[in-house]
Amino acid sequence: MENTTKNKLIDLIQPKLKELGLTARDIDTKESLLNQGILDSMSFLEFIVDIESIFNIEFDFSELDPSEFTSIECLAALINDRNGN
Amino acid sequence: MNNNIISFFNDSTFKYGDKVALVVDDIHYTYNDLSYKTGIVSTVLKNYKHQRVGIFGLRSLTCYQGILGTLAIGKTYVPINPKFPTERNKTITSLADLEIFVVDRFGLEQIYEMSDSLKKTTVIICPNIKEQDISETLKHKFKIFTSESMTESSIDYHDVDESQPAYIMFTSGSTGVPKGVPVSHKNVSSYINYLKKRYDIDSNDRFSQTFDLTFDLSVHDMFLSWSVGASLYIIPEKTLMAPAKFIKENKLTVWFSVPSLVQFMNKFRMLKENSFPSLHYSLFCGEALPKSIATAWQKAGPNSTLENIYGPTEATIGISHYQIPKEESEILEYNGVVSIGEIFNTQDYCLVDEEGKVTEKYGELCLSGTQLTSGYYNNPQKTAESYFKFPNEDKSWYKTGDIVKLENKNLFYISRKDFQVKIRGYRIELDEINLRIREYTNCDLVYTIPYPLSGEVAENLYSFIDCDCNFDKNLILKYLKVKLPDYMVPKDILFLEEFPLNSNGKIDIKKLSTKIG
Repeated sequence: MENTTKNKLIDLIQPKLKELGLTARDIDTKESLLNQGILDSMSFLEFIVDIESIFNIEFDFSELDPSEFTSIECLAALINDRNGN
Repeated sequence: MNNNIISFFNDSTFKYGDKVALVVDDIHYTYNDLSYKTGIVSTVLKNYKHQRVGIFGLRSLTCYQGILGTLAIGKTYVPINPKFPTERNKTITSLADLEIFVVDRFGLEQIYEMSDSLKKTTVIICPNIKEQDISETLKHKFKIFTSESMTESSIDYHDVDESQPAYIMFTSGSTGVPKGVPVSHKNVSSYINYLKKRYDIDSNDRFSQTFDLTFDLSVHDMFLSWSVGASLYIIPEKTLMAPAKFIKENKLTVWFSVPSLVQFMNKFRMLKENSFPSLHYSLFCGEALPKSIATAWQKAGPNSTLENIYGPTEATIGISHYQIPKEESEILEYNGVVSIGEIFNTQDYCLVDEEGKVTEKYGELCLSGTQLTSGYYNNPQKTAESYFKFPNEDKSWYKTGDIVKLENKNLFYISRKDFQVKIRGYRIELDEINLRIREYTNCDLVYTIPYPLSGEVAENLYSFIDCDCNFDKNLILKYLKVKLPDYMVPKDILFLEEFPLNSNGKIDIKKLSTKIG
């Protein structure tokens, strides 16, 4: 289950990767997408909007620190947590 | 010692030495700590004759000690932002003729990239970097000071002439060349002294610092907080995306940011009712403040007094303010944008029409007074375009390029005279972007528009190019990323067979925006 969440997330940022001339293999899923230069704060928030609508969830950003949701792994964990897995 | 703005910090160190002056990455530095660290930088700097010192870094301890250390001995600081492209920073380095830098690890990375363009006599001061972390290439090229070689700290304050620049800020220029604005100690003191009297703030306050040091609103954060012995909380770069938790955990009392940041927070549901009960003041500046954003923030910080501040870098940080009433229906607004209020009563203003004649109610806002700077650095041509004197008057004025109207003693922003726009608080000259695209593609028909636009604040930029131009848009975007700061790079580039024109034969911006998918 966790794996598929991760894969879905990676699929979502494919267009961005293409633009940068990167492939899914270049992503470090444990490292922040911002630190890796894949997304900036603007495109990251757009990414979050997409995630929320696709997974049909809402994050509570008033209680989260960005370090807790900017890597693929952290995001996947949050999503799975919300979905009760 | 009274002219030098370092005395704002210095007086507080004397009174509140053991209180916290600065919090960076969860580390608390007292006034005494920071004063000692300032002395470490001054000790090195004072052996060099250079008047201007580059502060190359990202809101790090190094930068704050560099700024204070530079000012303490009467020198001028020039902030350089490692987030900007190397090309732009090379230009600023050469325009300001910088040969000495105080550098953090982010600044060091870029210094390395631009090392070929720096003078051989360049001195690099890295108070918080170890010698082993400096590349051999740099060590061979330049004189470098590292944490090991910077052990002595002497406090040796110098007074300055009040007209001497405290800092030089570089702003975007329409010809593609940034313009430097030297801001004097007198300019800054006038601003700080005015606000210090206006606000009920003291050494128990905790101020936010959200602005990059290349934005002059950072000067407000530093010197207003230090002038009353308060603590300055640096909001880490990553945290700026979702700062709600930070505000709550650190119980900040004074908030200052661009409205766009609040717009994000609102969009992502971070402004819940009474989220920030600790806030005492919330200030917004840098772009038009939508009324909806002000009311959303007021709900999250019900104990906070909100002020909308307006001002160009050329008239020092901010020069007008509007205290936003807590009662929503009483808020003065125009087109959904909150009033910019009244010009500080210590400064002067007037409105002029197209011919430069003074008008009563509507026109281009012109500013004068002790906050007015004296013109662009080494650029008499640009200075003559924006600074002027009325016949038979000795006083200098600055034309802001902002069209405003005056109603019930309050000013309302209408538009930019030359269609300049702002993104995330940064001033954008669209022609600068067009220029870079033309430069790369050799296509003449290039047009960039802000979209969506509310007031002068744009969310994104889109560039349109004639479809005869056979370039991959990703290559163009890649080129722009090298040449321009992030916020100036268009979100997308669209190729058009035909540019829609209006009845005057001008490109129809409204119709252009309908092409955005």
